[in-house]
Amino acid sequence: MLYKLFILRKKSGSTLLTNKKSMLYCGKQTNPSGFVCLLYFRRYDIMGLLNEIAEKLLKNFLSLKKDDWIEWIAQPNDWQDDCDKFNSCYFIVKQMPKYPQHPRCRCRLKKIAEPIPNITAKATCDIRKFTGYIFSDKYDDGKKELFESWGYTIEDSGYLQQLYISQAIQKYCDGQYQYVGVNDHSAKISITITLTNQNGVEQHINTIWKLGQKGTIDLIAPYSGHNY
Amino acid sequence: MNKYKNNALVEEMDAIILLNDNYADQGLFKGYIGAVMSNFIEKYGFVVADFYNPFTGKSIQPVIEIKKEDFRVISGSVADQKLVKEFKDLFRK
Ligand SMILES: [Zn+2]
Repeated sequence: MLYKLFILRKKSGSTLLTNKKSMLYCGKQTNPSGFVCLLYFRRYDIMGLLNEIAEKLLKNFLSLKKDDWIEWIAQPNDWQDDCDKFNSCYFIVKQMPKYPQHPRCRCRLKKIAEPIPNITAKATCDIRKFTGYIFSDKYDDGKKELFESWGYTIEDSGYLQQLYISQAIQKYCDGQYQYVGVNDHSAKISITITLTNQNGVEQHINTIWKLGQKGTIDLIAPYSGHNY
Repeated sequence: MNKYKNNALVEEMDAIILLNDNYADQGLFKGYIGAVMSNFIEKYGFVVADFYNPFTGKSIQPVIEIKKEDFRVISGSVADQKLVKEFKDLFRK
């Protein structure tokens, strides 16, 4: 076995480990019953593989199901990874970042109720994503022509803004999104928006949103390809 | 050649960091980090990007053209992640 998982007695219970010297302490989790799980890895183990195992074990330990929602509680740290990009973000378990993120990750997952559109979750979309980008005459990349071929013009920017907001927040809260990763300071998700053209034919398009704190999502890319 | 050495290869949703204060009049300064929406470098010599407050998500510039010589692509290296942290610290309350 490449890993050892120790589910210990109640909080403050002493460790059951005997050969600590060869082990690396990687994290601690508390489940709803107050039991503590300490995770140790052998120092020479491959962390990638261990993270995969640890993720499964920890989710299991926390009794999380794939449709449960969690709030990611990041712990401040000084080492290389910067988990606070996920801090206070709400994820459905089946579409969340890898957990734990890295060795010695001390982040916690707090189980929360499914977010409710416009009550515990909110979407924003700047109208300039349409007026200054999709319908801009400056960019010869076909986006404007595409939207116009579906019957939308720059005059419809306000309508599209509201439509994106209402569809995106509903889908996010229904867990109908895909976690697409993080490469800067914010987690990103993709959501399929359905637009109906003049002939009643539906167009399913990919859009990219950044995840903010406490259930907020903000549109980054209003058109990121078709979802057939 | 890769996107970390050649800006023309930057992809949608890549994180970029500003190398100067050429956009200061629009609220963007050296070290600010944004996400690329479209790469128009071959056609027009710029990318269209989105810059926002990393904590509130509030837009600083939701659609802005950044010339190819004014940015570079952020990588997952420790040094670059430190720059991400420094950018975030500017907005930390
Ligand atoms: Zn962490």
